[in-house]
Amino acid sequence: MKKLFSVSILLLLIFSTTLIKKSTKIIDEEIFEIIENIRILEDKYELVLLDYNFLSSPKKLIEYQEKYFDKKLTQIDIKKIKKIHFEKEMIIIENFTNND
Amino acid sequence: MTEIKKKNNLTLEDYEENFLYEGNKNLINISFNRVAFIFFIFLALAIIFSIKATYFGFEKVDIEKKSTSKENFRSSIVDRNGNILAKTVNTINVGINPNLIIDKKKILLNLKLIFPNKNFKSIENKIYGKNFFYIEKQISQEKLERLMLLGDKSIITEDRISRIYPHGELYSHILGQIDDDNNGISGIEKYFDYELRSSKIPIKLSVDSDLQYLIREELISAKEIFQNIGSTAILMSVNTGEILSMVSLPDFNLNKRKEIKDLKYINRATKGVYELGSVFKTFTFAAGINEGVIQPETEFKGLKQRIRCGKNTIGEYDEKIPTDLTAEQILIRSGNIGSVRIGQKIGIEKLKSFLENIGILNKLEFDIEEVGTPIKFKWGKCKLATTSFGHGVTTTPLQLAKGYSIISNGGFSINPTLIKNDLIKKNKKRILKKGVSEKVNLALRKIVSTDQGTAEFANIQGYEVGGKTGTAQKIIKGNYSKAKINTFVAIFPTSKPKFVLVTLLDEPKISKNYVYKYRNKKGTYKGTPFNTAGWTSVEIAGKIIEKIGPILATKY
Repeated sequence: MKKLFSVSILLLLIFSTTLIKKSTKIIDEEIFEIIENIRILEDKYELVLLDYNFLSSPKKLIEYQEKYFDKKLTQIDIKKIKKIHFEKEMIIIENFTNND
Repeated sequence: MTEIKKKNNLTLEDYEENFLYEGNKNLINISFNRVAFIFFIFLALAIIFSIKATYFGFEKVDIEKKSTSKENFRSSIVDRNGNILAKTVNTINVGINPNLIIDKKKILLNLKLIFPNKNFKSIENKIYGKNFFYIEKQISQEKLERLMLLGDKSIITEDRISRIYPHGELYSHILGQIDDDNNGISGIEKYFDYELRSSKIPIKLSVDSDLQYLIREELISAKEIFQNIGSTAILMSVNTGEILSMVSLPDFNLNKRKEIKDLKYINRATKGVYELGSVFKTFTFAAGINEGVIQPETEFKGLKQRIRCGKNTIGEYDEKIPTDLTAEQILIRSGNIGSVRIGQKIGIEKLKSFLENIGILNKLEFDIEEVGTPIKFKWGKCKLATTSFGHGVTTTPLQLAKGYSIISNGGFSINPTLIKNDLIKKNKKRILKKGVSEKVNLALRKIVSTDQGTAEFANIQGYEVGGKTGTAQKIIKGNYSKAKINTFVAIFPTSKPKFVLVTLLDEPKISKNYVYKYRNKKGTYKGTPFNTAGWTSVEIAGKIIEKIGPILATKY
């Protein structure tokens, strides 16, 4: 009985070890694939971001504005800009700066 | 018969029935030990793999933190909003090996079609030569495809890595350059060379591209108005030391890599060491209050127009300046003699110690290596007098920004930085007495908001701008020249300072046609009457604040 128990435990351990090793290997591969995919996506994202940053840089935006729009950019008067706070059911509107 | 006898001679032997099977106990023991041993081994293996499986389950894979061993790798640099300022990308260089060309005339014709703007005389010479040469570096995808379609064996491509700066010249003095071997040779590229090459995490700078652009545009327009040979502007948070913008003109396009040796391209903000004039009077005033020798309302009577110190005469720029003034009025009206009197009250040791504490006299530790060292001098009675009004003492515009930050932020020490720091520094070190800043800020505000002040063109409504002007003669080859260094340091809003803006024009000239628009009253004024900071740097600083103000107010 003892022998049978020992052998069955042994087999169980061998089997479970194999399973764990196999699943670990699969997880390893999946992790590697995910990392690689993320890396590729990151590279693509950074290149797209580079294009975006170049095309939306202040210099380019001013160029586009002058090229495609008739109206000129106007200076914003800071006194005309307000801050809105939502507190519970209240809406509080504040000035950005003191009127000095 | 014999056989019968044999049969009859039956011999009976005792049959021993006492046979018992006795297993070899030693053998069984050996088997059991072997099983136990194997069991132990597998148990150990099972435990190891279980631990490994559990470890994988809990492990947080941080892809970003994994360093890379790629030889030519260089991490990106981004601004405070995540916009890319520098990035390394893969590019392709195309060259031609003349020895492999089959039909030289045909390939020359095709190259002319693909690269119509190139100098084909030199290309023709190279094609009929023997050495490999590049036809185009960092070639575009479209041109590469057209070249490859030729199917010529002599066309050779090389994968290379290039550093791209999408903002061109906007950050030239901050970012610096790299050499052909991917080594940083100046600016952030040099100072953080190891970090950029070893970590995938981009370096995040504290600068804002929108602010940087707007300030640069104003400095360019200043050059058109005042014909200055160079200029610089620094916008910094007075509470954290984070630099939001730092521009130095002239600048250069980082994408067109070239060796820069001309001195006109130095980073005036950090490397330029200048005698900055009256902007030092604020330090004298602050030191006087900090040391308890004056208060803003302390009266100084019988101030002379001129005093002698050794062989030199110290005089007033404004000949109409009253002889009786308070300490605050001396600062507002930028009185030289009054500042000397305040300096004399403070004394050499205390004024020297004050200037050292706020980081004016010694070389600054900064995030780029291009940092100038203020010229050392020997303190004496005359030096105390001249230093009190900013004569004979030098520093860099960045140190000036640091000094003004400390005297306006409540007296807390800060260190200028180009690196975005998300951690809020809770334990600030106080280096000035409580209450000094409030008094200084009030005086600085009056310089801008009152008629007696010298900086009314910076009085932009809504921003509570305060500041001090400084007009100094430029030292060229060790002697004072007629050329000027005009500086204005603005602090705003003065009721609770957040930003310091240093605007410096190097050798500005008067403009006959420029039309000034008064800020404190209605009307305009045509032409620059005096080549002083009040008529040059202040005007530019006012225009800068007017433009960047809404961004600062809404974003910061």
